[in-house]
Amino acid sequence: MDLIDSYVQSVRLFLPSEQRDDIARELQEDLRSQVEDQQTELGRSLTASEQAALLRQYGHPMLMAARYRRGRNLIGPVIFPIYWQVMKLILGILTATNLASIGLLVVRGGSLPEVGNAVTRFLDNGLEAAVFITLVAALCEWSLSRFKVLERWDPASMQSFARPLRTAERAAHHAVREAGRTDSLVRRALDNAVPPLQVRSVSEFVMLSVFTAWSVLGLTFPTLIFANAASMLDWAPAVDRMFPVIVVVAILALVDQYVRLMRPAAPWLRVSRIVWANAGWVFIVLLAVADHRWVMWIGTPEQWARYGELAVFAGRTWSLVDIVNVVITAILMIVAVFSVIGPCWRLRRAFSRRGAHTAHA
Amino acid sequence: MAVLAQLRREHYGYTLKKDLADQGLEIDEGTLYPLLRRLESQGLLVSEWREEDKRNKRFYRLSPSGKSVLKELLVEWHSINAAVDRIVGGTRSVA
Repeated sequence: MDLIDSYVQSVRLFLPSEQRDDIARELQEDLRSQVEDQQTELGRSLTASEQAALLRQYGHPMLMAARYRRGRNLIGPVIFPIYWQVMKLILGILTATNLASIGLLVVRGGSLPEVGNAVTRFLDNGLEAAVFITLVAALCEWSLSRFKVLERWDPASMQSFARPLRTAERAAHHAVREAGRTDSLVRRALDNAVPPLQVRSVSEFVMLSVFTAWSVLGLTFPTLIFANAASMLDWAPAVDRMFPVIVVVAILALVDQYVRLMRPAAPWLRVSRIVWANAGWVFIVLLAVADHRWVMWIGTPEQWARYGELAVFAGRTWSLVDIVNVVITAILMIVAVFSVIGPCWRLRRAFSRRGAHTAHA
Repeated sequence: MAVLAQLRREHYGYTLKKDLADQGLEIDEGTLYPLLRRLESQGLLVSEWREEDKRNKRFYRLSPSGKSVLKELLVEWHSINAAVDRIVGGTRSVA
């Protein structure tokens, strides 16, 4: 996959879905015609930097795709595709937690006014979330345009955008074939083959900004996370004590992402990538030693009478607090396992290719 | 208007850009391609995929309604042009 393919794939990602394939195909064909034309003129293939110069005339993939969007005035067309994804995700989570708590209320014999209040709070929460996401997206859009991030785009940063994993494997395979079977060579090839990706970084930066702000606000205002159950549940003191650490890690992640966006060639980004790739292990160890009491009961005795004994399972009675604690632990475990599996899977695939090649040879 | 006029003859994106540039009107690709889509969605252009030089290309040409819009635009353009010419010419004679 060369720069042209990477560019078209990147533009495609941000195009309106109904025209996506057609526009991407047209762009690809015309770019290829232009490349062929220049190659005929020069009597040789275009170098990567000549391809990059050609793509620079088209502009950053997000800007290019944004020009095909019309009639979106609330949030500018550049950020809109990411904004919409985040909106659907957050409102989806909010709907799921609120419907679960309303369902629980109905099952436990809640009165009509109580259910009505719960539904009103759900709508309030949804509206607040929508306003919040819109504000963050508008802020991201303003900063992208204020600091001309997309205008300072370098097409070379697109290399291996669409399928970094496959490119990494190919590079690792190539390194082994060319220079022997040294593990360090494979690692180096992997590192080189997955450069900081500016386009992906823009999406990650916006999403990370929204999620970080959402989680930090959720720790301060439990209603954002617990929905209607916030009158009965609060964060446990251990979580409150961890709050400064969570804020610092979130800020570090944001700074890292911001530098990735503004200066994709910064030398320490490789170190930071290794640190973040291994953060999953630290997370798993912390989870193993934690007591898994993330929330505590702050409800009234009447509420306890209704939600104190929700289920009997594995020889014990489970309250709402127990169930929420188990759900949070499960979610954190899944996140931790995935953050460890990613880098391991990538290395395993590269090494298994190497094994297959050795066997073949 | 220039794009509509140029598309009285069939073109695909890249050759259209080249022809316009050859006649002194440079339009960058980031503007031209979305513009073609917009004109097509307004019914002023029609397009079709066809193979040329072993490559599939999307060819655009003026639609019947595009032709009448172009005719009106040209009349308007000529009258504005003539008016500006008179004004500029008048200024020149004063100067």
